[in-house]
Amino acid sequence: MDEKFAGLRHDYLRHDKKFPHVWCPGCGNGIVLGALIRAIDRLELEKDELVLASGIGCAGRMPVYVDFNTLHTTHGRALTFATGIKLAKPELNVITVMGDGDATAIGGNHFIHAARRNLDLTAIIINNQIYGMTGGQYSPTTPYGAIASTAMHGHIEHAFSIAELAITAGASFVARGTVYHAAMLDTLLAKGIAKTGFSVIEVMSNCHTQYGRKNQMGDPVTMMKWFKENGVSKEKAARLSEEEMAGKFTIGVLADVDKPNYIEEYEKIREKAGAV
Amino acid sequence: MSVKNVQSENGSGQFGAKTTGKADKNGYWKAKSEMEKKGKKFFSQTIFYDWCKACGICIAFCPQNVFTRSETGKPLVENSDECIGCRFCELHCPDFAITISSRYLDRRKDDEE
Repeated sequence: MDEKFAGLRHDYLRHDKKFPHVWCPGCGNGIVLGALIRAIDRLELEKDELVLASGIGCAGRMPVYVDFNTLHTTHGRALTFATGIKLAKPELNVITVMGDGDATAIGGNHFIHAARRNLDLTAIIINNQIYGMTGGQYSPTTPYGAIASTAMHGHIEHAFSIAELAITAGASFVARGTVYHAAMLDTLLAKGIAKTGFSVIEVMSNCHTQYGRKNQMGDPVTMMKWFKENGVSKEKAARLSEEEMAGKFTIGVLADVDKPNYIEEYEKIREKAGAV
Repeated sequence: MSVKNVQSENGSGQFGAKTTGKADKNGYWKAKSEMEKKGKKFFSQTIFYDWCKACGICIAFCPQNVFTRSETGKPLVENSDECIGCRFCELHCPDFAITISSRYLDRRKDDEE
């Protein structure tokens, strides 16, 4: 953390857009945006070699505010548009920002197949455990027993663990961070963007307006404290028993494997077929 | 000690020292410059009030209680000298409204009487 950040955000934010941004007071999306800016600066990437694509939802507003090449796509299809961009121009660094519902419900199939295909993309999934923008309906990541506007007496389904889903689906790099651990989030995002292959960074974020208010965490401070108490590092999680880990989640780099990515393999096929 | 930052919520926070008497002022600068010689670092906290949405994260998590809550819920810089420069507020401000930067005691000739 240095003095640079104040200047950075002015370099990377688009001041012709209306600020302050549209998100609720205390929304984690702003913190993720800050972390993304710092991560990109740490990797010294040019603005012109970056593409930020998003789907629909609160997180979908993120590309509006940054001065990269940006794309605001249809619901759940951020990864499909990103796949197209990457295949057409492999030299670009393509990052997608999605919400939990956007990535795992509406775009669930795209998400697991993008992970399986191992194309060099970075997927940032902001998990606020609810459909925040549309009025607090339960999403695939709403925990069992939580109250949502469509689960008034407690949610009876069980939640997806996005990071574990991504590991199983075959992503090269999977990490989980929270908005409370913002400095760590910088590192995770930088590692994810630098990694060649499909990288998924799940960010636990706060939606105190829709999720917190119904679950006794009505303000951002309470939700941030909840992340502080329940986010357990991978090393510490290994020492804890299963009962102690109940309701908690691991943070940090959860999977980092090297395997051939789609672009490399595709070039090989082109060579074999005599196209190059 | 009655040295405080004078600031309003109109525009960004201005840093200034308000003192009651000359003796007080001299005592303040003397004590602070002694601390600075011993390696204490000072930071200034600039708040861009036009972007602040009064979420209260900076006030709640500051380890040194630098901020107090104003009537509108926005932070006011209360104990600027206590700041240790951890930048928690700067990193966690969702609205990019806080800037923490190093500050050296700005001493003027008439402080040294």
